[in-house]
Amino acid sequence: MKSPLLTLVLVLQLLGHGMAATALLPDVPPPALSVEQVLAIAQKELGRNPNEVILVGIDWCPAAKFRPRYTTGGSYRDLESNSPEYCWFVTYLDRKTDPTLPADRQKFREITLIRIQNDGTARILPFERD
Amino acid sequence: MKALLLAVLLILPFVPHGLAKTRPLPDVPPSALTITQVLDLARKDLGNKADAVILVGVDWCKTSQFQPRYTTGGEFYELHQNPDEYCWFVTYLDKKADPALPADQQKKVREMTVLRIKNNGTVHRLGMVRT
Repeated sequence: MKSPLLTLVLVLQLLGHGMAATALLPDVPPPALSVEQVLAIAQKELGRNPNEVILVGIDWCPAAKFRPRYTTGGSYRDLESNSPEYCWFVTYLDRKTDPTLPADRQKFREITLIRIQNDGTARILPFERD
Repeated sequence: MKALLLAVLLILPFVPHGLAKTRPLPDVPPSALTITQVLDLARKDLGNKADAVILVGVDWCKTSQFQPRYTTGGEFYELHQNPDEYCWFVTYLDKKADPALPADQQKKVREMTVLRIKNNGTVHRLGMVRT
């Protein structure tokens, strides 16, 4: 009796793992652009010396679902469109100085977010302060 | 007095904007690795699989704050180790076939792989705990 019980417990545990492993992800379409192409397009659109910025993210996801990992408050109105279109999002932090702040508070950084569509169209997303 | 009130009314709308503008971001340290180096390390770790996956994310952030944008359920337990350390997180989706599913569902089956790449170039595949 002990042996079938033990087998049942083992099988149930394995089944649990198997079921979890088959949880479906959304049917993510493969991007037409490689990440290297995306980076080249983003840097061209940014038009800045790469040493003045910190690249912190490259993400391929639906426009409606993208949220930047860093925030200075406010929102990107182009992300509110609920578009299901998959795009690349390239996020940079910028060490741009703020003349209204004293020298010891110049850690302020600005976020620049670039959306790159599958056809290579790039756009810096306009930011709206709350 | 009127002039003073007018001045205050004119200035006030700009004050919240000014404050919002100066809301600081965390002091994110620059990575010692370039993005090209990070991608090379990730491809090397993936080996032959590199061409069979879809890269969906490369992120530089604090370990405790990393959350993959996609999920198959479960959580990555290593994210509790050295939570304040900034690392690169490279996320891939994989079209691995699942023999338990019928053929018409095979294209939807994807496995997710997250690589954590430390500032010294150490690459580690994150282990997932199913919940």
